Amino acid sequence: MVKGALIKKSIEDMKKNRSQFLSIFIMAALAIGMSVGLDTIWTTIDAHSQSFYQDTNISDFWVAASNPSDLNLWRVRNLKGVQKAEKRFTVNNATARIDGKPILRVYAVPSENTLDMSMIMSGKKLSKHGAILDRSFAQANHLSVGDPLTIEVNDKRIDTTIEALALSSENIYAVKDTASMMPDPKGYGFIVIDEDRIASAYGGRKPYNQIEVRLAKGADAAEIQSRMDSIFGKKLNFVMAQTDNRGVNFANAKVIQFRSFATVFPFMFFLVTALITFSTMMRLTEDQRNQIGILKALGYSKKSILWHYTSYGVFVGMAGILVGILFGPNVIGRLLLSKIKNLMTFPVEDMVINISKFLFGASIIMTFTAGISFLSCLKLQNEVPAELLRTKMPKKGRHIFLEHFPYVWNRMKFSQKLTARNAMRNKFRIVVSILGVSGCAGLIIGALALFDLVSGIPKTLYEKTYSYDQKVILDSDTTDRAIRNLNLDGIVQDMEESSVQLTTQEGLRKVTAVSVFSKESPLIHLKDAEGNSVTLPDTGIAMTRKLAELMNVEVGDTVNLKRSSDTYYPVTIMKVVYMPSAQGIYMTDGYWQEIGENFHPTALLVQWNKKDNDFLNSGYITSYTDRTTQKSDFEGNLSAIFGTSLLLIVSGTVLAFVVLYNMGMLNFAERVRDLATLEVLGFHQKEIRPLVLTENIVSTVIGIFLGIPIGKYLAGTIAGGFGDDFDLISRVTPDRILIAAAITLTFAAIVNHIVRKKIKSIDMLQALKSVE
Amino acid sequence: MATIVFDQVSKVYDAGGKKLAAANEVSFAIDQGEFAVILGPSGAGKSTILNLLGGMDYASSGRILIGGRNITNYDDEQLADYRAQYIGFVFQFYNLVPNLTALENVQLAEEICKNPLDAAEMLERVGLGDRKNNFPGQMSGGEQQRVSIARALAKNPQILLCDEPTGALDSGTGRIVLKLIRDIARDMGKTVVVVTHNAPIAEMADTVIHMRDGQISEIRHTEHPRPVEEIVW
Repeated sequence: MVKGALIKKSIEDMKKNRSQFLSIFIMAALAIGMSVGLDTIWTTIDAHSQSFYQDTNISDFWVAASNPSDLNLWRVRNLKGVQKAEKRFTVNNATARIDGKPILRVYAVPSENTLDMSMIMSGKKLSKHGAILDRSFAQANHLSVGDPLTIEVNDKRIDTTIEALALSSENIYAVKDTASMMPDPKGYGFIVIDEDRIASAYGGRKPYNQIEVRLAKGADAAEIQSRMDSIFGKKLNFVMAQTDNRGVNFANAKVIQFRSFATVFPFMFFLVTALITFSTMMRLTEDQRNQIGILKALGYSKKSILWHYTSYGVFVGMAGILVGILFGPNVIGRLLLSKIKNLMTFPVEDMVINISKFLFGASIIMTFTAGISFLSCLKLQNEVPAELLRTKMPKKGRHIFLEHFPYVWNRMKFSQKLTARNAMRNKFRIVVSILGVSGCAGLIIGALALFDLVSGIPKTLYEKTYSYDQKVILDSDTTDRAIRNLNLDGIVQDMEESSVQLTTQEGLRKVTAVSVFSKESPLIHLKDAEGNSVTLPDTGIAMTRKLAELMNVEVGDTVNLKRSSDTYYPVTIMKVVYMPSAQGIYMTDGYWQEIGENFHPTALLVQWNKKDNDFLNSGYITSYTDRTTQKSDFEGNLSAIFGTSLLLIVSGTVLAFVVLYNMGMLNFAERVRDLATLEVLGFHQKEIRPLVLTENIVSTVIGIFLGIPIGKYLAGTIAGGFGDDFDLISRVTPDRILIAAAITLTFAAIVNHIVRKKIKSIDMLQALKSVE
Repeated sequence: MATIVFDQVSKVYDAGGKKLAAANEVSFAIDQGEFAVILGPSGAGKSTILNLLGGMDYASSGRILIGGRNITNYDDEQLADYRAQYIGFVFQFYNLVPNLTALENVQLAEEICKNPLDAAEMLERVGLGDRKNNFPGQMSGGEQQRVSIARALAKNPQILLCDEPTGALDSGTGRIVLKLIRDIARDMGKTVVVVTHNAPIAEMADTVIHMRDGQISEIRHTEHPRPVEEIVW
């Protein structure tokens, strides 16, 4: 019976303070939902990719070498720390003889190989004459197991039958070349055939061009990789670490990005949950000091009264956690993962929830809600019932600091004086309001900055850096001279794109993209971080800023470049350029030849006077992309991050509303008796309103100003959390601050409107009643 | 001349479909400068009269004439003006704004009145000249009530409306407060209406309006009211 009465009281109290409790609930749910939801993204990608790597036995690094001998392989196998080494052949330019002439990456694999296996999703194991086909490619091109498929490699036909559809851990993010940002399963995929089948295309001799290496646990990867030079000598092209694989790199980048989001963004929601719980429970227990006195006088034990008040926090906190754990992964997680799913191929689709992070977040919420409720009641527990039942004296007014400046104070209006004194008396509430508003403004600024960062990358690349209409990937047979003879009508720039391996003096090695083009470069406009134009140096190289940072080098330093012919050539970094995405080095065709390489253009950039469709359909080229397509593909590639930024803007506004509403109502509730009195005295609505609203407006404005550095901090943290491929400079522009301010002020205005209505509905007769 | 006229005033509440008359055809008149007491037990309807007279509520029917003007048709804004210009309100629980000093509480009158009296002077008159910079929290109940009276009178109102002004005070302090109201009102020629359930207070009134069950049971005029000092409760 006793317990039942208290539970009834709880329910009634919660009903009476429903907007406060609803706010705590929403904040707790958002805090948990955001942290678990954003966590779900990276834990899912991380878990799926790691298990995929394990199941398919992915290599730790790949050695690209031309025709490695069995002796080479034997020597790699016998290196200390190498667990396994296998050879295979791979080319990225086979054509499937079906509609649209899609490109296939071919892996020709000895049947005894165990590394980098494809994961067969349907069909049987690979036979001597069959082929394992990329499942996404097969689905997009309506191919199934049993269908014949002819591919063209090195201008020779190879007829196969599709025996299985599979996924490949090397091709999680399947893009065919550096110009592509979006997987295009209809136009590009992979195919695995037996090594014997490829021989026919290469004059009957089985070709190999890659050694796959798996290391033993704890092996020194850098040490072992550095030994490849002496083993392969001239034959070595480059060593590619697992993390240099585009798919692995892409998955890692997403993991890094979303881990950073999940760490940075939910913080504000946890903080606000604590603050709102604090302000609500403080007022509730303060309002109920009489009731606590009655309960005590009736003989309720200290424990049951404490539990009664603690239970408010427990119930609300638990409800928030429950909804958060349902809403976070299922809404935030699913929504954002669905955008990433278009980009990455994993064998499984289920979500992986970060349980430990959830438990951590849940315990923080419970500590805040239950703990604060407990403490706010504990404060009153030490008073005797008689004291609690006595009418509480009005809070003492106090002179404030400002009154020492009569010049200011005497000039202030009455309502301003009253507002100032009230504000000083309720510092906590003001602090909460300001914190909440600044958090909201900061979050919105951060979210807008994230949006700008992400949309800025394609803008910088495809609007400022590149000015071509089309990027044409040339057929490997197309010569420079052939292009010149075509006399294309427009501005034309040829370039060679490949990968080279660089080694720093400190011994740091990295396979990186190299772009070679003329010094004039009419269609690629390199810039430094400040946006000033940079021309390529005559000798030496230009390096992107992020790469220089990762390799710990600067202008004037020399790095060793692995040439395709034989050993290393020292090149000096003459300039540092800024690229928001895709890091690498640049040099002129002249210098490229000076260091002993052949300039063999792989791509042609064209800005047409008149578009030459004959050329675009000719055999000179393998594919082409419009700059506008590249840009929209890039944007599509980052859609999950756009989604995140929208989510943050929405949740930031919810935060603003909840905080402002609560603090506005609290301010109102604390003053309702004064306001009623003033109304009885004959004050008009318009004279009473400012007494409450001014405080809200002032704290909103201060909060917005404090939100600016918070937003800048968030933006900076986010910009740094994008992974090695990205070099982002966070800029918070005034218009973003204005937008954030406008959103926040709009909500402040809505809240003020609600409070204004409340003020209008004040019952003057309340003023006549005794103080509760 | 009657400064307050209640003419067949009713206030009917709708309590769950049942009509409940808190005031039922109440008629009375109070003259300029009179000290009137509306007396009755709780639930008699005196609070309703107070609310209507104080311009805090609307009558269901009848007319209320204050200084010859019918306030029953006033809208919210007009009522606020009426409260500001005509009524000085003294509350049972003083209702001082805790964040304003005694002087500032009295100065509130200056914010809203056309012809306010000097706040410092009013505080002197209620004997609190030396406490003007104190906050309500630093004052006793009696002192707070005196500030409240100063605040009500600083508005220079026609009517001083007091709601159980001694209700929260001990009898000694209550007597001082009542004497203050009586003396100052007499000096300034103000009409005073005191609403109370405390019968002895009625002995000091010129007019006593007895209420019971929402109706006036008796109106009594006295030529020689008893001095406050002689009243015991």
